Order: sequence, then structure tokens, then C-alpha cells
Amino acid sequence: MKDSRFFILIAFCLVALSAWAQQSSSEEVYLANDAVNDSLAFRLEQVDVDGHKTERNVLTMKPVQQMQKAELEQLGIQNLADAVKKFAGTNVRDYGGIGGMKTVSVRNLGAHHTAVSYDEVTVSNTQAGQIDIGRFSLDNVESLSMAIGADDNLMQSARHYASAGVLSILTERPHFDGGKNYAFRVRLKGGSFGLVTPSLRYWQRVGKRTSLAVDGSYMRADGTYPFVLRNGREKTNEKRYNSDIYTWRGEANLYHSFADESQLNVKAYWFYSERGLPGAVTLYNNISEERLWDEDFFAQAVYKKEFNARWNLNARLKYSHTWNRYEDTNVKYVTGKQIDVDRQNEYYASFTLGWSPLKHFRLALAEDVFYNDLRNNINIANNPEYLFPKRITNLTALSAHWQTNRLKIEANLVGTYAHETVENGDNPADRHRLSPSVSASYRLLRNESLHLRAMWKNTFRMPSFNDLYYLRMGNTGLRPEKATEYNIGLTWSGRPFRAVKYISATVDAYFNDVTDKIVAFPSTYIWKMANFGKVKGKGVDVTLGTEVPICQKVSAILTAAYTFQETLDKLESSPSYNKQLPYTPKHSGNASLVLRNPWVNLGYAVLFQSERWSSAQNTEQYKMKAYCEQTLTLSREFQFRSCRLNLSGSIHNMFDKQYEIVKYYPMPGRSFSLTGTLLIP
Amino acid sequence: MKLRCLFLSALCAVAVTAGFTSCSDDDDDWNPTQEGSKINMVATRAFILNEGSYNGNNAGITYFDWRQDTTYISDLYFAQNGKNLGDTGQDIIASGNNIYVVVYGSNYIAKLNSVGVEQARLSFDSTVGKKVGQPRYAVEHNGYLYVTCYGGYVTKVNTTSMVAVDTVKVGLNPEYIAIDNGYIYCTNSGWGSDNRVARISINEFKKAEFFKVMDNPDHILAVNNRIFVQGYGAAYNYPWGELNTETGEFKEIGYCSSWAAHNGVIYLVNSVTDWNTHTTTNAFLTYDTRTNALATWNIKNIPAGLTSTSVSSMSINDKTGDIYIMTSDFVNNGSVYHVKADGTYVGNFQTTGITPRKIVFFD
Repeated sequence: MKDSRFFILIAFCLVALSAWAQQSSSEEVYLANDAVNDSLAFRLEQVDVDGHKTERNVLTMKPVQQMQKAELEQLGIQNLADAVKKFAGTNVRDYGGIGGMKTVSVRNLGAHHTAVSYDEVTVSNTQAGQIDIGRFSLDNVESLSMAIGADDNLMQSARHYASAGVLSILTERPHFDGGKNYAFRVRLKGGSFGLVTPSLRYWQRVGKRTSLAVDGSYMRADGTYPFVLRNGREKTNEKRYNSDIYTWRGEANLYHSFADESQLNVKAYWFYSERGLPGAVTLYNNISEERLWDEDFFAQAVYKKEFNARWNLNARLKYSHTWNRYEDTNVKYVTGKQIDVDRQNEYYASFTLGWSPLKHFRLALAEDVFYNDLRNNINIANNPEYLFPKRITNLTALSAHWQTNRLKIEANLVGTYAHETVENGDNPADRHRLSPSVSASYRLLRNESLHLRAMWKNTFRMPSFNDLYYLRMGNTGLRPEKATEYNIGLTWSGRPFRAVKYISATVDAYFNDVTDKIVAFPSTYIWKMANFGKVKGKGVDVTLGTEVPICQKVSAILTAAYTFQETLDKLESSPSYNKQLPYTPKHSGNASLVLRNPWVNLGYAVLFQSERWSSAQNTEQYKMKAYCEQTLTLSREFQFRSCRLNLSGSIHNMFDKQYEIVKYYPMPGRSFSLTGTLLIP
Repeated sequence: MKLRCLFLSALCAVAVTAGFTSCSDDDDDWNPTQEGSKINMVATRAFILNEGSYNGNNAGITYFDWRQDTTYISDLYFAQNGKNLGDTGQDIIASGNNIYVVVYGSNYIAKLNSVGVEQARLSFDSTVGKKVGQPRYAVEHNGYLYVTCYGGYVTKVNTTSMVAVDTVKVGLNPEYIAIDNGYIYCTNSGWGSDNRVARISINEFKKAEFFKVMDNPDHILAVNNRIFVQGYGAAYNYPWGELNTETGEFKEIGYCSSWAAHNGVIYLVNSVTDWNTHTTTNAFLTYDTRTNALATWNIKNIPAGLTSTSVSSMSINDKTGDIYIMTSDFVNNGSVYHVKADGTYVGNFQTTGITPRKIVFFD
């Protein structure tokens, strides 16, 4: 009741604000006429527009925040997790260091509810149910986007429709300058804690309609960063040992445009890493001998065809194989070592068929089928009852989109059916569910890019194989964990003063609740996974962006994001009832400034989190201090005939702030990085 | 902030304790400051070891007056030593005027005096030239601690110097340890891969002999020259029974998840979680080793919290025979329920840490 009152109050404020905004006049008429679909966006790209393109997040029915390659580079962002931290409404669980696990949760719904897609195809991990975004490189990224709810693109896969949030990584497509048929990039990055990352990229045009892209990189780091350990009155200087990491990554892409303008992108991706896992800092005991090896391979193909003005098709195919080996050396194990080996396969096929029966009305049917299996040695040795789980999942998403000049409405229904088998033991019951969602956006003024948007989305996450089958803790009777998201927002983009090129701002208030939350239910000795938790969250996300031209060729680009969140345990029988969930700061945000000029570009970024608790016990003992981390980056591009050399240097955490995102996983203090990139031609 | 809070707590403790220290008959000649205490304390003091949470470095010691069931300070170890106890408080024993605390995750045993001021510690990084593994449980006998270590050893530690002097190989992942009639007994869990109790002669301290019990044994008790063993069992239903060390035969008697013994009576509790309703139910029993009678332990006016929250441990005050039943939800600070041997429920209070494991009593 209290939550709904909060929501109504926020909605009222937004409507009042929009009414006020209607009185203001605008000098600009925005061209970005609410591009919703691929095809329309494609056509717009061919129009030569002199002006600022309205931020996508202003036009979408759901919050969709984006970052482009230039911003990532100019702000010296080192990895995907650091980039995602800049999106309002996201919580990144970062265990610190280069090799530390990093997962992303949207509005505290939990990392399991966030889909991660790489070049439009979902990345999956059915065993853990969540994706470690720390292993993706930013080297070849063209843009990142974080959609809360889902993206507005009607032609996305059913998996995206089914997720509470989608983090999309789009890689750079080959483009050839100066009439050349090839492009070559060499990049060398080095930095503190023994970081060395050479990478190579080669693009080749093969005929009129085909191009190839190959890139690879190696990364190594000792990762042995210093930190200060405070233990009561004692303060000691320590080092984070066993944090070394070695990774190899390679990717090959084939891009082909057929004569009928349909497009095909085929990708093969390989990743291998070995790393130390330093674990939590344990007082008086700094021995850590855990290690992890990972190997991921996937091959995927995306085909897009527009049959005519009414019909279009996107199709996707993917096979992925992941392997990992975890090893812990300790005399407590019978053989002196614990070795866990996991292998997962996924076979995935998906298509989305779009149909526009009317001028303002579009329909899309997305159908995804995927098969997952897991083989590991944990269950074989100790739990032969459940060997080799296999799951086949079918997702069907039917979407309808209606759009007039000022109003957009989208309704969507996702049907899920999952069937699971195990080689021994009882097969769990099939799981099926219908998940509806509705979203809308209304342009409040004809000549002003001021929009009121709202979303209601019902979603859920399937129990992971670990939830279901993990040795003794697993529970095959688990139901899916359900989440409902409500969002209402006001977005605006305009040029109220000549002194700025544009200002874009979004304010979104949200409410969500998670029921049947899958948690490890405590018992005297053996804990078991159970549908037990209940969580309600509410909050406000604010984003702001502007560009201020200072003089010719000099401009300042400012962006900022702020999140207020209150996510409470709402299980009446819980001792933590009405307590804020661990690692949920009430206030968090970031700001960045890029000063573009002909000499040396300057990027400055600041990130903060208010106090939060590391435990469900919201007491002084578990309170974690607020922190603020700042990064400064200088970069400049040099032109040598047809070649370009880009040099950049960054000071990360420049005031050497000692902080933790996860308790006893200290984050690195001040560090440096230097990057040189040579582009030929 | 934390220090300020502790300081205020200490001040409160001083104020409160000042009120009734004068009423005490027993502690007129006992002055805690002589032992280096930074806070005022009552002589009738007891210390609860709180295990804390995994990787939380939040093990701690709650100090309370066992005559009043009043807790005084959030963490006695921190108050007296200015630092944290560490990760996973596993065991606490009192011997003479000292307390020994086994801190499993932090891999050491601390020797404290009777007010909680640390005197010495032994880290188990590489004890007696061997990797014996992290310490689990300890008993004291004639100036030596005998400590089970997860690498499959019982390590002998000189309590004066806190130096490990010898070690004997036992089974896999030894857990609880007890002494009876010149022998050390310890369970070997192997996390399900072992099913034996190891016995070592204290005098020889050379070699272990083994007795087969249930799968994954955990607790062991020596009562009136009889050995009782509790464990997970193959079905994880926590069987317990008696090990006849003459014949080597193990006889199962019942099921329990926690226990404590006094005056020949074993007080048992079986905490069982129903995974359909997600409720935990505690069943209380007694076993009289003199008559071999197993009976319902009828706790009068038993509060709901004690019947439906997992019992993490039980301890008995030898001076009074009163039983302290500790419960935990493994996330929040635990509770202690005070029950008299005749089943009279006295009251309950909160500990100042997660999962209370054991209490030691002084007077």
C-alpha cells in the first residue's frame, strides 16, 4: 500500500512537471521522430542532419542507456563492468581486481534477471544463471546499452523480451576509409600491476558485399595490488596475492550483404583464461591457492531480411561450449586438491518475424528454442542421483506496437516452456509460464522532445542448474523466481540556451517486486535452495547529458546519472523484514566530463556510492563506508598520412581511495594505464 | 564510528556493572583490571563464542553475567584487544584461568586470560613442520591442547608456550575431540568420505586406531567412561549412538543435531527442517547414561523461538547445571535460551554475533 502510494506520488510529480514543461517554448524541432524499429532507424541514418541526434533514452518507452566507443575511450574505461557502473539503475557486484568476478543486476532484481547479449545474441550460463561480465573485452566494442525492461526494438529475440534487463554489447563493424580494402589496428595497453595487453585487428573487404574482420588479444597481469587492511586499531599494508590473470581472446566475423539487401553476420569467438582467485581477505590468514581456468567458444550467425515494407525477418543461430576447471590446493582435501570441472553446451535457434499490417501498427513474433546441458565431476563423484541435466526451453514472444506521431504503445506476451531431464533420478516437472508486459510513451508537446513513458513488465528467471542440482544444496522442486517491474518516467531533450548544443534529461521512478525468490534456505547443517524470499524495491533513476561548445573545435560533454534505491526484504517471517538488502546503497551515481579539443582530450569521471550494509543485519557493524572514485584520462590522436596513432593515459582512482564493493574484497587503489593504438590506414 | 560505539558500550557496561558488582559476594577479591581488562566485569562471567558468517571476519565473543543473563558488550575480544577475532570462531574452551579460542578460517588458536585479553597465539600455517590444516576443535589435558586439524591430524600444543610439539595422523577431516580414560577420541568426517572415530593414547601420542561408526561423524562426548558419537549419517538424518571401545561396536540410539552433557545426563535436541513448509522444528530429549533411558525433555513454557529456530549449540554451566540452548538463523545475531535442568525455562537473550557455538563459564 505504502509502495503504491509512493508510486502514485512520483507519477503525479512527473505529470505536474510535464504540464509545467508544456508552457515553455522551443526553438528547435527535433528530427529524431521516435525511431522505433530497425528499418526506420536505418533510413534515418542516410539523412544528413546538422544538429544533435536526440538521445535514444529520451525516445524509448523503457529506459535504454547507451555508451559509444568514443566515450569509453575518452573516459579511460578499462573494462565492461566499469562501463556498466555508469548506467543509472544498475548494481555491479565487483569482487575487485582484473580477474575478479563482476555481475550486473538491474534495479536490484538480481544478476540472474539480466540478459547479456553479444552482437544481438544472448550469452548464457545455465549452470550459474548469471554472466561474469568481467571477461568481455572493451577492445572492439562499438556501443553498449543497458535496457531496463527490454529494448524498444521490436525485432529482438524472445530471450530479450523475457528478461528484466538487457545489457547489449555491439562490436565495431568494418568500415574502410580512403578507398582501401583493408584496415589494420595494432593496440598495446600497459598499466599498473603488471598489465600488458597487446591486440591486433584486421579488416578486409572481400568483394563488393562481403567483409571479414579478425581480431585477437592477449592479456596478462600480476594483479598484485596493494591495499590497506584495517582491523580495529591495527592498520596494515597488504597485497592482494594470487590475483594473476592470463587471457587469450580471438574473434572472426564475416559480414555479407546479399543482392536483396538482406544481411548475414557470422561470428566465431574463443576465449581462454587462467587466473588466481584471491578470495575474501581473511584476517590473520592470507593463504589463497584457488585457481580457475576457463575456455569459452561460440559460433553464431545473425541473418536479417526485409521482404517488403510489411514483412521482415531476423534469425539467429548459435552454438556455445564453455568449460571451466576450478582447483583449490589445501590439505583438507583427501587428495590435497579439490578439482571441479564443468562443461556446458548450448544450441540455440531463434527468429523474429515482423509484420506491419497497418501504417501505425506492427506485430512481431519471436520464437527461441535452446538446448542446454551440463556435465561436471561434482555430481558424478558425490551425487550420482543427478547426472548430466539437460534442458530444452521454448520461448515465444508476441509483440504489438502501435505508433502515432506522439504516442507509442507496445504490448508483449512471452510464453515459456522448459523441459528438463536427468540421466538418473526423477525428472523435475516441466515449467511453463506466461509473462505479459505493456509500455508506452507519449510526446507531450508537438515541437518539444518531451515524453512521458510508462512500463509494466512481468518476468521471471528459471532456476539455474546449480540451484537445482548442486551437491546436496540443489532442489529440483524449485519454481521460477518471479519479478514485476513498474516504471514511469519523463524524458526531455532540447536546446534551451544557445550556450549549449543540447541538454537531455530523464527521470524514471520505479517499483518492483520479486516473489518466490530463490535463496539458500538455512538449516542446522545442510542448506537447501528454496523459493522463499520476497523483495520489494523502489527508486528513482536520473540521467543528464549536455554538450557545451566553448569555442570552435573545443567543447565540453557532460553526463551524469543518479540512482536512489530502497530494496527491502519483505518476507514477514524473516528477521531481516523491512531491512535494506545487502550491498544496496540508497544513493549512487556518477558524472563525467569530456573536454574535446584539438590538442589533448581530457576525460574525467567520478563515481560514488553512499553507505550500505554488507549483511541483512543493517547494523553499525556491517555498515560500509561511502566512497567516491575518480579517474582522469588524457588522449590525443596523431595523423601520419593515412595512418592514425591514438595515445591515451589514465589515472584510475586518482586519489587512491580505499574501498570495497563486496566486503573483504578490496578494490585496487590508484593505478595507471597507457594505451597506444595505431590504425592503418 | 565503530570505536565510538564500542567505547559507549564499554561505558554503559561500566555503569551497569558498577550497580551490582557491590551486590556480589563472590567477586570481592577479584579485580578484572588486574588481569588487564579494559572494562569492568563481574566474576560470574560467561563467554559465548559467535562463529560469524563465512568470509565475514566477524567471529566474536559475547560476555554476559550468568547470574543475570545480561550481556554487556558487543564483542569482548575487540574491547580487550582492539582488533577482531577473525573468521569462523569454531571452538572455545576454558582451562584454569585461561580461555582458548579456535578460529578456523583465520587459522589460529588464541590463548586469552579469563577476561579475554590475548596472551599468545599459534597459527597453523606450518605447524611442527607439516601442513596439518586449519584447526577445528580442541581439548585441554595436563598442560597440553589437543587440536583436530583439517588436514587429518591431531596436534599437541603446549599451553604455556603455545607451541605445537607433536602431531598424529588420524582420518579425514577430523572434527570434535574428547578425552576419556587416557585416550583422545576424535571423529573423522571426511565430509562424508570417512566414518570412523580415531583413538590415540595420550601417553604415547604416536598412532591412531580406528572404530567404525556412522557416515560423516561429527560430535563426540565422553560421559562416565562411555563414548557417544553423533554425525550426519548417510541419509543426513543426524544419528547418534554409543561406541563401545572394548568391542569396537557402534550402537545407534536416536537422532540429534546438538547435545551437551552434565552429571551423567545427555541433553539432546534434533532440529529438523521441513523442506516443503520451510519450517524448522526442534525436538528435545534427555538420555540418562546411568539408566540408559531416553526421555522427552519437557521444557516448561517453552517459547516459540526455541521450538522453531535451528539450534546451533548447547552449553551447560557446570556450577549450576543450567543449560543454555543457542539458536541461529545464520544471518542475524543468535539467541540464547536459559533452561534449568528440571526443564524450567528461565529466559532468553540475544548474543552479539551470528551463530553462537559454545559458552564457557567462570566465577
